[in-house]
Amino acid sequence: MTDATPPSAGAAPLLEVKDLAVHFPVGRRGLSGRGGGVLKAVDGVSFTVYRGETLGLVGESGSGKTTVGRAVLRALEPAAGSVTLYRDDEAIDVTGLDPQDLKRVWRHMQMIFQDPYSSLNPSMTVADIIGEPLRVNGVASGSELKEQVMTIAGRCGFNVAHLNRYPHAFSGGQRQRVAIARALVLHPAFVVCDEPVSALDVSIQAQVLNLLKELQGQFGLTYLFIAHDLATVAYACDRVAVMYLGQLVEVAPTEKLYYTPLHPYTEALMSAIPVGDPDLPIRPVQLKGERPNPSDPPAGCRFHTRCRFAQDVCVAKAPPLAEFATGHYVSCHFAGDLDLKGAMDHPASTVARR
Amino acid sequence: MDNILEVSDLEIMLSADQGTVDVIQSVSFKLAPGKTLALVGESGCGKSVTAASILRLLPRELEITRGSILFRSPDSGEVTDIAKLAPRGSAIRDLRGNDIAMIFQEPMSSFSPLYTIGNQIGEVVQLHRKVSKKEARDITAGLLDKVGIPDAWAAVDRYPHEYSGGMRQRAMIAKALSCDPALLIADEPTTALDVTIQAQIVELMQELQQEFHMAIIFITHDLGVVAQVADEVCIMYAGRVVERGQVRDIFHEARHPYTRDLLHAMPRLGNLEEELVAIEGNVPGLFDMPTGCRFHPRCAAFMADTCNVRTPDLTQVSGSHIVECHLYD
Repeated sequence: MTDATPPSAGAAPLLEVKDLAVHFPVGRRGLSGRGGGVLKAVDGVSFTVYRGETLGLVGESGSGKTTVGRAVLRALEPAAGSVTLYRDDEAIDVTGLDPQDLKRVWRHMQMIFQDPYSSLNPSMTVADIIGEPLRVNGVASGSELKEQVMTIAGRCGFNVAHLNRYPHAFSGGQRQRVAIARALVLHPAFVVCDEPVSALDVSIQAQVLNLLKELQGQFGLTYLFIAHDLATVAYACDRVAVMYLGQLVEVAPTEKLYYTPLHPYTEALMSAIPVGDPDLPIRPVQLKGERPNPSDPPAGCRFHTRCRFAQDVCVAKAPPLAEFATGHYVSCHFAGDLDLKGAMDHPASTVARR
Repeated sequence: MDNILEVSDLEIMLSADQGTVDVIQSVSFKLAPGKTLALVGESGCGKSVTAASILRLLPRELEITRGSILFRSPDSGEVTDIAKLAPRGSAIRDLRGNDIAMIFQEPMSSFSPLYTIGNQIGEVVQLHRKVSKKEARDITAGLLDKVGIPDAWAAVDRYPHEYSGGMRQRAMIAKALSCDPALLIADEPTTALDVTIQAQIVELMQELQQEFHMAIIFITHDLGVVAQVADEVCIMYAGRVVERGQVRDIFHEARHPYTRDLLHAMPRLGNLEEELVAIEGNVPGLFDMPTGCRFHPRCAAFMADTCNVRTPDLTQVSGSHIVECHLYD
């Protein structure tokens, strides 16, 4: 990102996640509901999101990134851990709230979903969709509600003359603008963006990414940006966290993570990003074998079954996520000792600009 | 004809309640054996329709109304105009699978959940080669091994749901390769996959291409992948090829404003500092196609009284690099 000053020690946290765990029951169960196993989709994840930043959360499908996003908002009930939201001078323990209070806090924490085709109710007009949070929370009604819906829709680049139409009349990009307007109409402090552009064409992706950035500046928003497209994440995020099998393996400012990764899994991800230049072929680091079954993760470091550097200690002991350099966290026994390559730091593209 | 495929002046019309409109207009391209052609563009630009027409897999409402699709069989040297074949006749059925194979975006929905992978690939093998069930099974295991599925002899008896997404895509490639096709059409084969798996599949396709000297048509909207795999690129917009050339022509010497816009809209790791340039607006609908150049309502270089009036002519930039834009004619 352009002004990517990594949050220094002095930056104020907006959201603090500690030892978050989410479990899903799996396997066959008896009528009593007993038996079967537990899938630890998220297992001991801790991170902080600082005010005004965009924190990226990346990982392959099944790594648990969407589950983290939902558990942070308590759209999914975490099995353990805490989530704290800092509003003004108040620290709100999100995980400890009863349902009534949680509803109040949701005004400050919103979500944008991946698929704008299924996240908008087809039988409601766009105006009703965007206005619904206002109505449900009793924030505004009547002409005031209408006014607020028009304002936010306009800010999100939606043609306000079309507010009375239904979602089916719009393209993916326009629908995503509606979804963004709905998320922002209550003026939240924190927004979880779950794959907000991956269902869209590249030209429309750019529209929506630019819009999200613009709105972040206007409203002082803080984003948790979940995505699997690493090039998009690099562009959208100040810092990035990498997940593997339900745990964080590395967290760092974007450029550090992409160009000087410290975890072998991050290296493998970075090496596989297509660079978009026919003269710079990529050489992906091949991971050994298949991703292990998340309901039966390997002992020790979860990545050891696929890591080309794995030693005995990696099987015996799980490395903690520790700060290796300022702001650069990594969970690897050999952090700093390995010769890892970053995403190709190629010279500026030679494509003529208009 | 040295090329394996020559598509000339292809036009495909859609008949609907609202009337008849063209979905594909004046599309031409050539593909040499062993080479990869990428068809690139936003959704709704006609990439998949073009590809489906090569196999005559178009839905009933769509009809080829003009142009030719010449396919040269590498074995017999015989040239067939696919556009003239009956869509459900035996001639096209002989080509499908034997000479031309296709892989799809969604590997989950391309296999039946009721039969083992071995069953489904073996069926294709038996259909096209005169072999026993036992031999078909052996051939299938060999194919699965070739596309990098571990323990292929056991994998033959597994069901699709027991495969991961990447494995399923490999199995689909194995199925497509089962009859040693001369032309492989890959419709967004990596779009649903994670980046590490995507890289593996792309590498696999390139290895197999070398080994079997296959020609590949690679349909994608991901320019990053195009740079990696393509020898030649066709940029499609609203049913027309607006620019076409060698991969370096497109990435380094792009002429059409739409091509340039697509390149600028792509996030690149080298330029995190730069703003992404979005292309405003959307691909026009079939029933409200703009007059003149179809890109003019979104074009930054729009020239009034020209772009909205006349369809631009094709201009040769250099060698095989061709662009359709009033800036150059």
